[in-house]
Amino acid sequence: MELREWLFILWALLAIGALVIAYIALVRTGRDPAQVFRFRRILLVALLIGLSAGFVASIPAYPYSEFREEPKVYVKVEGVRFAWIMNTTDIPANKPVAFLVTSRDVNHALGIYTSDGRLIAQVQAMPGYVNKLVVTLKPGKYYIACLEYCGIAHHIMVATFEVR
Amino acid sequence: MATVSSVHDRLALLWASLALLILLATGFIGFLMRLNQAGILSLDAKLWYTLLTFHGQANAVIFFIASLMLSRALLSKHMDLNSRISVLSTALILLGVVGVAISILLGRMSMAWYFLYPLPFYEASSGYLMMWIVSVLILGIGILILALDILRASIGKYSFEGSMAWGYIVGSAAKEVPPIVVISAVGSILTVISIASGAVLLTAFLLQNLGVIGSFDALGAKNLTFMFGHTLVNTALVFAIASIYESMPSYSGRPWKTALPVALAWNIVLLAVIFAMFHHVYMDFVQPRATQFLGHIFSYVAAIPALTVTALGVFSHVGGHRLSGKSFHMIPAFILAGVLMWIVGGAAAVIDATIPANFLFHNTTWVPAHFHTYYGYGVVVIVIAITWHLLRDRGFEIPRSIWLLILALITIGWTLHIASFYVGGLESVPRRYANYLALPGDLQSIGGSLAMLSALGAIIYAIGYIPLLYLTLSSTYKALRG
Repeated sequence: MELREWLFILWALLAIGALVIAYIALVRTGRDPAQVFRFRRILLVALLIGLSAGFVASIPAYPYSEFREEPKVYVKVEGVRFAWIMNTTDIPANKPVAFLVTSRDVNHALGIYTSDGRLIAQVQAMPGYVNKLVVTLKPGKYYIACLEYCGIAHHIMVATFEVR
Repeated sequence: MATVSSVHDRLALLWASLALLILLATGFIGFLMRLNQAGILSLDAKLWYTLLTFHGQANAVIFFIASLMLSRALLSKHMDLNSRISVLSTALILLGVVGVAISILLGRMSMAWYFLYPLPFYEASSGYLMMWIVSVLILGIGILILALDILRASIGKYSFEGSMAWGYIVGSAAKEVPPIVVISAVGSILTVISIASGAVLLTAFLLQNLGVIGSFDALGAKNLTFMFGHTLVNTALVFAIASIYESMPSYSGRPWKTALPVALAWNIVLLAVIFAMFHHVYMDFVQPRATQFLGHIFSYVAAIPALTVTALGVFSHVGGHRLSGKSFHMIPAFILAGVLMWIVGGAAAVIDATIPANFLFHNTTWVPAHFHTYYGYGVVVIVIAITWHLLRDRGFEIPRSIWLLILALITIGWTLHIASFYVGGLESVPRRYANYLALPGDLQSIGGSLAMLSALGAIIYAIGYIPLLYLTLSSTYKALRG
């Protein structure tokens, strides 16, 4: 299962858990307001543990280049309303590739989609700045869809590249 | 039926009614946008993105104002708020709102609600952009003077430290400070920060539009944009919650006083709202790394006071109301529903504020999913509840069977509506796409089907909402007319 699906399940569990806590709190603390304090302590400890664990566990998975392998290949990508200009569309498979992403006009975002429509990586493309996105891709055809609203043809600002 | 005599109460009822009426229009616009994504309509892309811009800006602003005005009405029982400021600000805000609406709709300003620099210079003509900037600045002044008036009155009566409940934290509280005072002080400080950030940004827009300066830094502008927009929408929730603390004791029969947890919680909220805004720029990898960490940490911190103090407090008071022997009243039921949806949307926000998750969910429909949960349902339903809390004081009520049916319809409808956005996020469907025709794989059909589900949910919601709107407007009219 992908990370995305785990996150969805986690959200559903958090939401359901919160509703169950709400029900219990409503019944128990409604009868005896002093129960609020006991509940608060339990909730506080659970939240502190859960959030700290989530924070620490997520750091190694940060998408920033210092948390990624040293890139072997560099690809320059420039967003311009409403197209993507790449210095190459031929990208090697299974090697860390750095996409150096910028924009000629407004804010765009480079969203890398697999050919079956899964978003696997993204980074903003901003005028005046170069964002470095490092990813290792399997062989296949990929799509770039713009993920920052950039104007009236934003929804057709799509390009493709091949990874071999 | 008693007439509403207080200026603050009258303005609160007027603004809440106006917000709920505007929601009917903006909701219908959202419905049309979803039908377009479903392939049932084929609107011109310029029109679609103009409608998107109007839908977002109108809802963000109008519910902020409704929420602020309702809390001022309740706050005026504790402090001497200035009626003239309320009237003046209403005039300024009305002028600003009309100016914003005209410039977006007639000028076809398709720049989305947070107008990311330099997009407005591409998506709007210079004249309409000027009208929009001036209108937003007027609107901002109208909002700012309301917040400053709250701070003035609050500091005058409770002192600044008292208004912030610092005495409760260090154990030296000499004078009792009601929670609504503390929360409104926090909300007012956040409002000042938001408006100041927006004013700096829009002044730069204005100078560039006049040709006084050339282009300016896009990353700095983006940070200011979110310091303005993120803070504004979160503060709408802060003011809505302030009113909850004030109104719930009428139903539970129990006081809700400031003590250490409430004092600590709201001082933490102040910092958390400010620093959590950096979660909007996670995908700008050039942003200083320390700010990304701050965004991540404070987005998590924000969840703690929300759940352990406010939500738990609401549950306890609703529980108290349930056991009071009286039949369940509409207002605690609506407040409970609003708070539950706020928690569901908050959980989604916590997930999205986790940087590796944001890498997969940012700017997919997961984002509108979470704010349509806590804002589109949470804030709206709380605004409805507090409006009826004011109306109830004048003897207006909705029969139990009717409000139960309405609450069921709007909750079922909205659940379907937001489910379409959450599943869309899971399926990588991008947000802010007029249609999905250029996307790879099954995204075209998935996006289209989810848009249909969303539109269906909106229809069920509307079946409950329209009668509720009618009842609210007609009762408000009678209450104001006497």
